[in-house]
Amino acid sequence: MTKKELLVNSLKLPRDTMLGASILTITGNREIWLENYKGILEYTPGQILLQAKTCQICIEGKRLSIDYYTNEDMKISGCICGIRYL
Amino acid sequence: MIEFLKFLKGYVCIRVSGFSPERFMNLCGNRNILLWNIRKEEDVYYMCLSIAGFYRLKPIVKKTGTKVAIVKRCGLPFFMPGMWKRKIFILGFLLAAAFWFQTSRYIWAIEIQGNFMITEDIMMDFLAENQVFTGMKKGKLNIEELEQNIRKEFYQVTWTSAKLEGTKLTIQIKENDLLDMEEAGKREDAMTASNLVAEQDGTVVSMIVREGVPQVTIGQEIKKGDVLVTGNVPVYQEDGTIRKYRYCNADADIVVQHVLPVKETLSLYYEKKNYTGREKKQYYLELFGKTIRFGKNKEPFRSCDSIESRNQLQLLRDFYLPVIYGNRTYREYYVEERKYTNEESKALIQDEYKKIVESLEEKGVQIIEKNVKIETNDLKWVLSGELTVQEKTGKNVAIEEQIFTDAEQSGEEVTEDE
Repeated sequence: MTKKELLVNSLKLPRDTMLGASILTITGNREIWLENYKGILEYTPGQILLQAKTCQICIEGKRLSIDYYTNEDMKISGCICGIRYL
Repeated sequence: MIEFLKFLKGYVCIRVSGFSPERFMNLCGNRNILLWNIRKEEDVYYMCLSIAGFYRLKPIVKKTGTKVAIVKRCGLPFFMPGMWKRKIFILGFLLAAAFWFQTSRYIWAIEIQGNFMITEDIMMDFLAENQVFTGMKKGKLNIEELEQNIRKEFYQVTWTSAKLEGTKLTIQIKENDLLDMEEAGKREDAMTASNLVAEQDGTVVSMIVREGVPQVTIGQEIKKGDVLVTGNVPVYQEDGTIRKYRYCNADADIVVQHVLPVKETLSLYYEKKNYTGREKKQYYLELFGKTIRFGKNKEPFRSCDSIESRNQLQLLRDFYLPVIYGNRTYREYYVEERKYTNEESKALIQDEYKKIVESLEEKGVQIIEKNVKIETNDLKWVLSGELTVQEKTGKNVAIEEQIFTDAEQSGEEVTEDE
């Protein structure tokens, strides 16, 4: 555990803003809401690769589409098969 | 809701192609340009963004080296210029809106509910006198004053309610059913003293006097206008002289028997309307109180009946328009003189007789003896005869004026006596 993590834990600060962790909200296997990311690296109907602050997130599925995309959050819909952290 | 706002502000669907569309999207995100409905088809990306966002795309496009093309324009800002070309349509739309707005400021229908004794015509005349008519401005109507005026004008109205719904004025009234009885009661109450006076000639059959001094006896012949029971009740002194009069309302049930002549004639010949089956319809239109008739403005046949039907245009349930349309149907007939057969005329005249008897019984008249015969000649049937009936008689007539004179006289007498 790093010093920063210790500090956040002991002060009970929100982890997402302090550590730059991404938040994923998944409804079934159809929709994902994403917050805290830097940008899109790659987008194909089969996979979406996102750059988060500490890692990369790869969302795999079929017929993936981005319902909306802003600097803060985005929504992906389609048939989701898996999520990988790279 | 969001969809509607998007439509209101307008948006474009664009096609993005080139080296790195992902970078294009990231830059859009960084500059707070909202993108939605992003999808990839083969090598090109399709997405939607607002018009304001679209104008800010230029530096991004330059930086990323992508190509952007508009696929579809959506929303009101793109729709409106097309609309402006249709000037007549817009004019019509605006005029319709103005017409709607303007007509809704007037009263176009008046309905009266709950009236039995006061006919609709009387009520309408009264309303016209009070400046309430179809076609008046709503703003000029003072409902409370109108209600008050109705109650003031028509004493039999016990409750009124006027309400304005849309362009229709509904006036609900409640009439007093017991008015006649109450009126009679009031009249009696108003009199401090009254005599009971005969209403017709006859012989007194029975008498029950509740108040007053009877002036007639059973079996006595009376004439119309005779005093039956007087309200002057004398109060005697010990020596038998009248000390004073006490006044009261004479009250009694007096039944008189009298003879009621009956006569009814029935002509053997009568006129019958024979409809020829020829009909003619005349249409008319009433706009803002003015009538426009189509076709000839005369009765099309020499002798005819007419039936009128009338309809008022109505937009919603209570939004009446000042447009009334209808038609008048004329039905032609010719008059034929016909003669009743013996059976027919006999039945008719007996019917008439029955009606007379029934109407008498309804009034509480008792028929003691019937002496009626039916005669006929070539021209008519005549029913004549007499009915001996017994009925209640007596009407209260005030003796107020006598009070003072009598009282003075009696007063003088009293002083003389002393």
